[in-house]
Amino acid sequence: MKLSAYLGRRLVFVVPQLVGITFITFLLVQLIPGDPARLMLGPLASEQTIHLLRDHMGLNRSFPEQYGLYVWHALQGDLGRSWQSGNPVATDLRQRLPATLELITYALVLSVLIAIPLGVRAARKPGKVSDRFAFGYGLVAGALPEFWLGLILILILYVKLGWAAAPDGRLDVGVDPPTRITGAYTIDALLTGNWAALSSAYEHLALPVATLTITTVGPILKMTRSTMQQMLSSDFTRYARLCGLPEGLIGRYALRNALPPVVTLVAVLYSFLIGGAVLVEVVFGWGGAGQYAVQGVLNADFAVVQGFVLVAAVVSLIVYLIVDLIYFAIDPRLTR
Amino acid sequence: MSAAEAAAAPATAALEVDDLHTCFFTAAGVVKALNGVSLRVEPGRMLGLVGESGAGKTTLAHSIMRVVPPPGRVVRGSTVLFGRDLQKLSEDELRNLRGKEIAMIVPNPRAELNPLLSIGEQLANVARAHLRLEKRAARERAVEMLAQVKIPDPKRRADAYPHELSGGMAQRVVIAMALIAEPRVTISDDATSGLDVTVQAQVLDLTLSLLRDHGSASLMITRDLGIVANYCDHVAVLYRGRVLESADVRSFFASPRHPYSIELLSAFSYEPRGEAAAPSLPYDAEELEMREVAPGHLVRDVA
Amino acid sequence: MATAVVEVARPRRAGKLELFLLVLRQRKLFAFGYLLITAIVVLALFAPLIVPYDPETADPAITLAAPSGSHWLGTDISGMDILSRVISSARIDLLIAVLGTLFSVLVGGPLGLIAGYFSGTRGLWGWVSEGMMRVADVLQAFPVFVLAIALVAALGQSARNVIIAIAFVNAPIYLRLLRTQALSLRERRFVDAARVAGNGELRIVFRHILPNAVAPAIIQASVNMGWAVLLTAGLSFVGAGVRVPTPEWGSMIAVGAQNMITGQWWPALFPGIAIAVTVLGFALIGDSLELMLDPVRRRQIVRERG
Repeated sequence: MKLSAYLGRRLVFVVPQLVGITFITFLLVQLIPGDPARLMLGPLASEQTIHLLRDHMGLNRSFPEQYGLYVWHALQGDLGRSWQSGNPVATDLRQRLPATLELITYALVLSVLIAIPLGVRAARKPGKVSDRFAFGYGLVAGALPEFWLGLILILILYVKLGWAAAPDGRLDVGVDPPTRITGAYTIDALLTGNWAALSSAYEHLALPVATLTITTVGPILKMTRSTMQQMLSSDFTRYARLCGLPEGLIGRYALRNALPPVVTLVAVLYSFLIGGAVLVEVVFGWGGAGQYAVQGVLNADFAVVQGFVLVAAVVSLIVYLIVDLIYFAIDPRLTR
Repeated sequence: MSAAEAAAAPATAALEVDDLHTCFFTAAGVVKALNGVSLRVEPGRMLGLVGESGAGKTTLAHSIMRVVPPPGRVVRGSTVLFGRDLQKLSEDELRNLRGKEIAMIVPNPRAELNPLLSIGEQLANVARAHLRLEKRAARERAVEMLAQVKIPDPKRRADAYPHELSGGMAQRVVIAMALIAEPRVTISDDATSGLDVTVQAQVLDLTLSLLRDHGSASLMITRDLGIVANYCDHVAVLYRGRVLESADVRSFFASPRHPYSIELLSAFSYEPRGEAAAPSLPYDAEELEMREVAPGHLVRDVA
Repeated sequence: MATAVVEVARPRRAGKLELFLLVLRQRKLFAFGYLLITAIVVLALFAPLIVPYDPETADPAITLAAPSGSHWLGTDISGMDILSRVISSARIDLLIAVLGTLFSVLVGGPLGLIAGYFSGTRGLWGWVSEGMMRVADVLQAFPVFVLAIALVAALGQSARNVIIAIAFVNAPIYLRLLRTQALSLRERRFVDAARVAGNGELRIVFRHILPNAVAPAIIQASVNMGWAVLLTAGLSFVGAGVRVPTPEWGSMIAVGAQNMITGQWWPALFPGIAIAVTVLGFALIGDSLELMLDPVRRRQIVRERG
């Protein structure tokens, strides 16, 4: 099958999924107690202004009409307005989503770089130290609440040793953010040659990235170890040995065959972390999209919740599409 | 091996298996898969090894190549390739011999080939490992081998992946893999058993003519006595991890001595070309010796 | 691979209890897991009798006291005894984890069985099966954590609603798991036999397929118990779970978080350890169940006995 045809079919499948996602979000928001118009205008507003605003927001219309209106606006990039910040949700998210994506991308790249070599080592020497370490690490890291781990790292590395930057955002106080290009500070600082911002951004990334990395290495390590073990005891590995191929080459091929489930897991973790990193964001005052969404939920800022869920789902879908592309690059059985 | 046989044989065998014991240490107990197997393949000759499934044929091939999967292990005995005991070599030394001096043609090749690499790449890898060829030369050698095993349009087919091949094509690729470095000994393990009868005959003829051309000595493991009768010089009968009878082909088919061999042959004569129907008589030959009944014809005593 | 089976020592079949004891004796780590969970359950049950102080009473005279002889784990910012609170928290955290997991199994499991059994069939049930899978797909694309927070926020902050949120976000796991089981079990002969005997479709699902599909659900549930503890703590940490002063590990960490920056580590440290130990215990139990319910590895265990 051609790549384009495959992706096309994939996208056709995505559309009903997006409809489902918007619909469930919409339903969920209806459940949130409180009248959004009243919340936006504050306690002193008159009944009449509230009624006018309700009308303006479409709250007086029927349920299907409201949903249709919501989807129609979303398609045009209008995700509504947050009553907390007073800004359009799309603008807020454009500001905050890069912060979250920067954080979790660094964490996952680092996790992969650590977990895959360790997992391969563990698989090649079953029962040895590296294997036992992989097992024990998976157990312990999976049991730690990441927000608590973040606090412990702050205690040791910031409070006691003073090595890390203060856990109060993405840059030191007094350092201006680099000129905005992508919204990810490290990338923007690098592109604009703003070295002060670059070093400050990395210092602030260090602890939250470490916190997330420590917890996400666990599942990736476990998966790499078990699939790699399977591949190393598979028929084709034994056959490669029979043909006298060098061990290094055999290991590389086994890894290539073991990669697809690992790649899938990384994608699942990535899409989970878009919202799941919120606990770490809270601990480090990160001000990312997750934190924004949680504030929205807790303060009945329903446009924010809807907007975030929609954007998070779209990012997940993009990540899964990238995974499909990687599969295509790895496995010829899909393309032909 | 008996003194009489040793005296009659030429100085160096291509492959000599002596008193080979392989056990599987499974959770359910120790399984003795090979129980003192001795064989001899002369240079340039072909030894047919027959036995029903479960006799230990594949384990024998794996033991010779030292790739018995855990929990299996060779516990005793030697497998000597032109004077060098494979069981005593280091992993590195062994790697240089596998595929170069001694190669194996495997059954069920579509599971054995790496699904993510084109067959050209897989062949070229073997060529690079053993012939010290550069990338381009290895690739040319791969295409050449594909032509030798009569794969049409080999240049284009080299880019095909294992899942795109028919069973017969995959089998040819595996034969090409085995012969690409011109090994001096080839072990063929029931290599054509998974194919249609017509394809089977083609592939078999091809294999045998190639083995002849390359001057490779070979151990032909099979369940088909027809193959042995038509192509092999010698024959050995394997039953429950031990050799019951070994002889040159003419002597064996003219006068089989062991009751198990006789039964194999009689089952076979009803069904020429078919698989030897397995007579499962309780031959327990634990303590019995091999005896020479005619020059080069050895039979295990029957209690 | 052709292998002659010459000498096979046939192990005697071990009973369930015997197997359990064998596993514990041979895998000390698993025994440790059961020990941890037993200890936590006992502490939770008898918390009111054990705790040295009332877990919800603040003593303004001794706020943020470091661990000492009178307050072993110190006191928090409002002067509540941390040891008493950590022990008492086990009550609500375990209750939420157990009930949340139980309900997710009870909701997701039967739906999964139906989805699997009727998958690809014509008629109403086939449509129901297909529809449920599409809904599960949609839910899977959701950011789980935000969904859980939103549910609690929408329903109101209480332990009951945290249980509902946990059941809701975990139910799709069991839907998928038992669907896969039912898909493979419906091809088996005993199912045909039951059909020939004139059993109704739903009766076959629940009387014949269900008993054969529970093992993986049990393993999943014990692992899930740990996740539920983590999720509960996370919800409380962001303020969408159990409210202060009810003792709960996550909210205790939230309260202690500000003190961490100024070097008072005890209010946040101990509840975190309690969470980690609980989750670890459930994970070990899950691993041990997986071992016991896996026929191949079970035989190995029985064999190693000798």
